[in-house]
Amino acid sequence: MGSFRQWWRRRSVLLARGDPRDEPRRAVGGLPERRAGVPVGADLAVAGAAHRVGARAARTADALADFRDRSAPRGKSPAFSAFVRAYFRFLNYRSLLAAEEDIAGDGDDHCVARLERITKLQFLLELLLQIRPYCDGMEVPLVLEAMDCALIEILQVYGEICTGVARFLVGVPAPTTRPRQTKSTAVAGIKVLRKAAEKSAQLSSYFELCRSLGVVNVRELEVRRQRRRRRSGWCSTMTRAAARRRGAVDKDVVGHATCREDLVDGPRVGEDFAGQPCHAQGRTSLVGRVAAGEDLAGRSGNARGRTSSIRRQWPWIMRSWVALESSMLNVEASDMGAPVEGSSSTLLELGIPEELGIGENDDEEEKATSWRDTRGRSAVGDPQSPELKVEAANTAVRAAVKRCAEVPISARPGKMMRIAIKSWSRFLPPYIPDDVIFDILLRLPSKSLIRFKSVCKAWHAIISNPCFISAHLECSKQKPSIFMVPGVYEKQNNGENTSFLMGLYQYQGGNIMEQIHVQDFPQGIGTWSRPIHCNGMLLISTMNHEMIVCNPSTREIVSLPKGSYNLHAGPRAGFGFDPHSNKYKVARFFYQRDDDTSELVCKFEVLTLGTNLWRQTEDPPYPISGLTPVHVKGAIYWMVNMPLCPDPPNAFLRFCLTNEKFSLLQYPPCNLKPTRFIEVEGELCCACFCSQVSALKIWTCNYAQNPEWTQRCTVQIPPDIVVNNPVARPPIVFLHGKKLLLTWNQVYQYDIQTCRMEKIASGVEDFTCYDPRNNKYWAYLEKEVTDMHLFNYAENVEPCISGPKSPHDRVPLKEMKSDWHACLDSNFKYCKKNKR
Amino acid sequence: MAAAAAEATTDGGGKMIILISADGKRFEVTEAVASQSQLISNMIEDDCTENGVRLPNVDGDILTMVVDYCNMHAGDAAAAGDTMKASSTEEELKKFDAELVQALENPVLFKLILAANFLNIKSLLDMTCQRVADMMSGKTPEQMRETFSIENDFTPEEEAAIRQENAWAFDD
Repeated sequence: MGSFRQWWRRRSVLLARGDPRDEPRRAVGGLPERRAGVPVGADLAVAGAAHRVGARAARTADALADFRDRSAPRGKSPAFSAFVRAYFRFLNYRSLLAAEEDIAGDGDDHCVARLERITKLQFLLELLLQIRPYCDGMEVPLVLEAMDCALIEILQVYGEICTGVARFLVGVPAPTTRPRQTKSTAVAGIKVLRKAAEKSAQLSSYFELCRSLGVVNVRELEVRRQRRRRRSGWCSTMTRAAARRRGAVDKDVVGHATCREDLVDGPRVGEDFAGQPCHAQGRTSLVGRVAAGEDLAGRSGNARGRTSSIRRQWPWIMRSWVALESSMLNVEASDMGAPVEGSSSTLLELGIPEELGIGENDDEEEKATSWRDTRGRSAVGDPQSPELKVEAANTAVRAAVKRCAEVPISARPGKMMRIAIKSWSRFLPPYIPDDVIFDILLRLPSKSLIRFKSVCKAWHAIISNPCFISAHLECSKQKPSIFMVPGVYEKQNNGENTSFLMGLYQYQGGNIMEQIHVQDFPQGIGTWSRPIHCNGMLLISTMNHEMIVCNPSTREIVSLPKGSYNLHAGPRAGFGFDPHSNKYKVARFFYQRDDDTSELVCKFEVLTLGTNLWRQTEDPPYPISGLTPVHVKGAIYWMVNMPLCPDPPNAFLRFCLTNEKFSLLQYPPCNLKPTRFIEVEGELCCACFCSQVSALKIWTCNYAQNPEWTQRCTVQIPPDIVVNNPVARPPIVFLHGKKLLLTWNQVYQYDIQTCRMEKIASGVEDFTCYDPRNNKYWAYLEKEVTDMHLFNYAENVEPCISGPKSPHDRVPLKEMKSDWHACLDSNFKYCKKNKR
Repeated sequence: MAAAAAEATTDGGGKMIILISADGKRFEVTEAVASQSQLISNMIEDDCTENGVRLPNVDGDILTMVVDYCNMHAGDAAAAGDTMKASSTEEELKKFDAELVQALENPVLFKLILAANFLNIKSLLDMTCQRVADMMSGKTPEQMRETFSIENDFTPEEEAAIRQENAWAFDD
């Protein structure tokens, strides 16, 4: 008891805490926990504990069952309790069953054991079918989710039953080989088969109920998937079997495979054939499935000899049946001396001859006729006289057995079938639960993801889900990737105008960069401020003082409304993500002249992406410098504008995007002057640089209640590089894998471990571009290249940054472009940058 | 028999755990190896492994691969001081991993993913998912439907709309 309690407590704690990895998934479904592929996943974990404490668990079920949905009226609580009890009964029985061995072999004992197992499974199925709402208005999500799981379980259990039945039938020895088959086995077999027939009717009504409740998705998905899979699996087996084994062996394998196929494919029989009068439910499900198999094979097309194989399986099926029944009757006749009324009437009730009579093909017609004849003869006998009836039945069976004996029987059908099942299942892609699909999609590049939105509705839903988008972003952040945005002026075809192209490249290491996309960008990238990157999106200031947000992963481009006029310089903005509101925000400062004192005053305004409005916030405590800010974890860091500040603090300005307030962050305790912000692995870093000592120190800030600076590394810059850079500008620093990339105009790579500096390129022109679409390498030759901009890039498939949140309302790129062309037509002139 | 085997301890002192696949194959592994699976690790904590751990939805063939993987990776999961297992270096591991997933056909790979997902072995799941993702990138939606046996449940109009909306992603 102790261990169960312990387990229960821990499990609840685990559930409450939740696995962080599961978090997004859970939210994807909007439902508690969804592990469709492993519907008993939880049970298995329980199995060890629960099967030992099974009885206690059952008692607990009653105690637990007293729960109800708070929103449900009081009167309904017994119904909820009944639901929970039903579910718990199932779980309990399932865990007991899970502990049992699978039965191998096909001896007599195994036959019995297998039947027992099938009986147990049928009981399990019964328990499963009891998991249903017991009154109206119970269709709360939790109940539906539980039924969802129950449905998957039902399909699995039913499949197992059908496999069991198939194996049992195959394992039934012909009466000639093993005459001593006990009567009880045969009776039990008949019972099981009958029950299976009943169940198929019950299943159909259960599916009907589920459909009406709206638990329809999984069912359809499952059945459809299984059907498709079986169909394809069937084809592969056919071709494989045909190639490998010819002749009689082929026939047998095919026969068994078909049988297995039909038997496993239980649910669809109920579905596909329910409406057809000639396939009414009263018939034994086995034959119905054979018919379904024929239909299936007929549909699955044109492989050679398919139909004839199906025809050939008829004798096999009949043989199995006859073997089963005759063994029963023979045992009765020989052991008991007199026929027993019950068993023969069982046979009659089963009505095999009629069932087999549905065959329309020549072969079957013949056999069916003979069946009908024997059956006819039996029916001719006085129905009032049980003796005659039994006698007639016996005759019929004997005749059938004799006929069947003429058909060659493969030595060990049981084994053949196992081979068939094994080779067949190797070709089946297994059912892959949604959470695994989620895991796989997470690792795809954005272009593939966007393309795969058109695979099916489920994938579209996953890929568009905000949880998926953020998880994909996180996953993408873990891969080191540097993104470059060089701008290029290129002569247009008419040779007159030059147009500005913005190229997006992914740095691959060395001096190779892979072209992702080249965008027509008529406005040009402003030279006064670098584009700012945040979560895969770029904020670009254009030449005509416009601000544009661009998401290269989705190719979406949004131009922002113009903010207040800045007296001091062009628009200087910061760009970041507010984790609390899950919104992207653009923040900018501007200088105004105070009305009274006519002094320059620094003001601040914020625009939330999706709205189209600049909101003025509190004034910054110090005037802000135009140096490109950096965004780290929901805050934007700026530098104080020293010249405009009479009493500059030794601190940075930190603007929190959540509460939109300013605070100060002290400089790192460094003897060098802090010159640049960088974001390295999601941490705020500061590069301190002094051209005299030609050293670069990089500090990392651990921003908490009391921010702490720690020195990350010191880069001793070789003097010749400093000489080559007469303007003592501090470099822009990036971390690429375990190496630092330093860029002035040239790009250097610095290995932190070996402290070696290596030149990669002396400008964008030195880079070799790789165009994966045409598989071509090229260099920037005879093009006017502006600055290059580098980012630690992550892909973000956020579908809509432009405004109205419904993805269908987004502004199409085409319209955006026409907007740009309007921009071109205006009086604005390029301020062309001279080539360096 | 199973219980007796489970009680047996190795030279290293770790308890042995028996894993039983769906088709009844038995695998004897040390606790350190088995506990890379979060599922089994939880079961070990709950002390319900003495009769062997039944894994009804993992085939023997797949479990062989999983056990191989866990044996190789037991080194980095176990204590760093364990010099016996430190012999497998990082490169060897990488090579082993690459070889493990490289040769697999799709259905087997999927089964391996399912096993990793079920047993909750994060590193194996990451690796296999990454492999599938690598195979998927650059493929068409039609190929995806074929690989995953997915039925296209969009109407032609809906599909056309989605394709048009993201036309750039479809041109190769």
